[in-house]
Amino acid sequence: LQHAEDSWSIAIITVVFSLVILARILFARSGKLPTIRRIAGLNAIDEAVGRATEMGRPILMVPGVGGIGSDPLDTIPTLNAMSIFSYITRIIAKFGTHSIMATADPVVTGVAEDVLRDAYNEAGKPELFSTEDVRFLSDRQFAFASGVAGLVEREKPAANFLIGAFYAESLILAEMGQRVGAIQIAATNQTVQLPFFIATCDYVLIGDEFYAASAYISKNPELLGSIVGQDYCKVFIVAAIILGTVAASLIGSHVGHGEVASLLNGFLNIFKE
Amino acid sequence: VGGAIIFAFTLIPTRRRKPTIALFTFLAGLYYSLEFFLPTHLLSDGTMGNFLTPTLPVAGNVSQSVVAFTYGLGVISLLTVHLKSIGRKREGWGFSAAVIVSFFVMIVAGLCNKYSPNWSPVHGVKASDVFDFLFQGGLTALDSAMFALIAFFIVSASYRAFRIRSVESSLLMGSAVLVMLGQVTLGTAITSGLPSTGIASNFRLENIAQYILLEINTPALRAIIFGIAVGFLATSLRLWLSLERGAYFDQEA
Repeated sequence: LQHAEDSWSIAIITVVFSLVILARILFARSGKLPTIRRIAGLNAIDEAVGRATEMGRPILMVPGVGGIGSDPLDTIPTLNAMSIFSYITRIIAKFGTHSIMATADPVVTGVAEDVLRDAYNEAGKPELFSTEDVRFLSDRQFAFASGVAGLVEREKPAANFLIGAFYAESLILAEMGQRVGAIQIAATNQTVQLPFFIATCDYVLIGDEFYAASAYISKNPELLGSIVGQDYCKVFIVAAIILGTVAASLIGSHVGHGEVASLLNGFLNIFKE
Repeated sequence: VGGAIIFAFTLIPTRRRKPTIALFTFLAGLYYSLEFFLPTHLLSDGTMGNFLTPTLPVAGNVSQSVVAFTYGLGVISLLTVHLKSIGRKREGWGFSAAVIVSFFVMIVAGLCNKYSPNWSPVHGVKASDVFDFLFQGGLTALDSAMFALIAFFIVSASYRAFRIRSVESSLLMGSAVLVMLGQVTLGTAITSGLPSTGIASNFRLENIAQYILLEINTPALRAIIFGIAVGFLATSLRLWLSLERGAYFDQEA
């Protein structure tokens, strides 16, 4: 898909969804705050940081192996992870616990340093930040995994936050955390890696919970508004699935003929493109 | 141009940096959106596009150049951590020494391989051979070893996941056994006596496994993907319009 002309239906649906989300953001600005259901993984952040503080062990944060700038499918989750790590770091700063962030991309390293520095500054504890706590290990997937495994073995973190774009290395990272008895909270946009995280982590943010996290923890009206907009879009998708199922069934059972059949086929083709 | 952009950013006063980043983010997003949505026509190079399409490679190169500068940050981070570890003789400092030595040996080998592959530092051994030995024999082999670890981790992780502790884990265990048996010859042999057509064929293990994978697993996975896709769109919009509140768009932004 190079241009909108290649598939107008996808382009139009994207624009409509964007407008719905923007409309809800504007509506939320007017004052009425929507409520979001409880997300256990995000509520457990305080518990994880508190546990690390009590045990006197560090907290490990890993924003995945995705980079920033090269691929949007990696960039957006990584930036979203940074947003969540910013919140986590503020809590860490409040408790005065030692944290380490392991990165696999030089751009992420730069952003992470800024994120952590700002978070410590905002918490009023700039002295707790050290550039050594943001460690660029390697941009090669398994060299990075081995670096994190070594880090976990040496530092024995009490809490692991695996949030971002993860691929085949996910299980290595999560299993190593499991072995040292760390409480683990994971979130990723990679559905293939979700089962590995579910098997090894204490809490996992599934699907759009990952993208709702920053709204959930910040309670920012604009972000909460965008979550409501997302839900409207999902209602549209569910409605399209139901109507599509009915249309395909009618065509399959030869109930619809002539104009009705072409109308039903036209409707289905919108989503087939 | 990439270098000029980075230099220009360093001249911006700190308090104006966040609005400047927000402006550039918006303009970059607008550029790519317009390039995607504007009507196309046949361009002089024979491809379809609009007036922005020919500028895409330039924008891509500038972006790559800016990213290339950040590699220095990665190298500085790596060297700082490990050189301090060696200097302070921290526990395991030998590993840090190995990292530093490997880092510089690989740089030298890579440069020799790139610019003088036939140079022979030792009699009969070319620079390209040294590089291949280090890259294929060292790095790739170590990568493969790490990848192979996953197989063992899968066993320990699945042992925990499949332990029957609740109704959900029992269902997981049951369906996992059926799917695994349905994928292997030994498993399919168990129900090979059942007819391959008709209602009874539904009870053949390979068909049960396929049913679980295609009719239960796939729809659930697609539902998650729909949620992720919409969330991705919303997050992209929030980032484009600099609405995301993180540390890099902190509360005062």
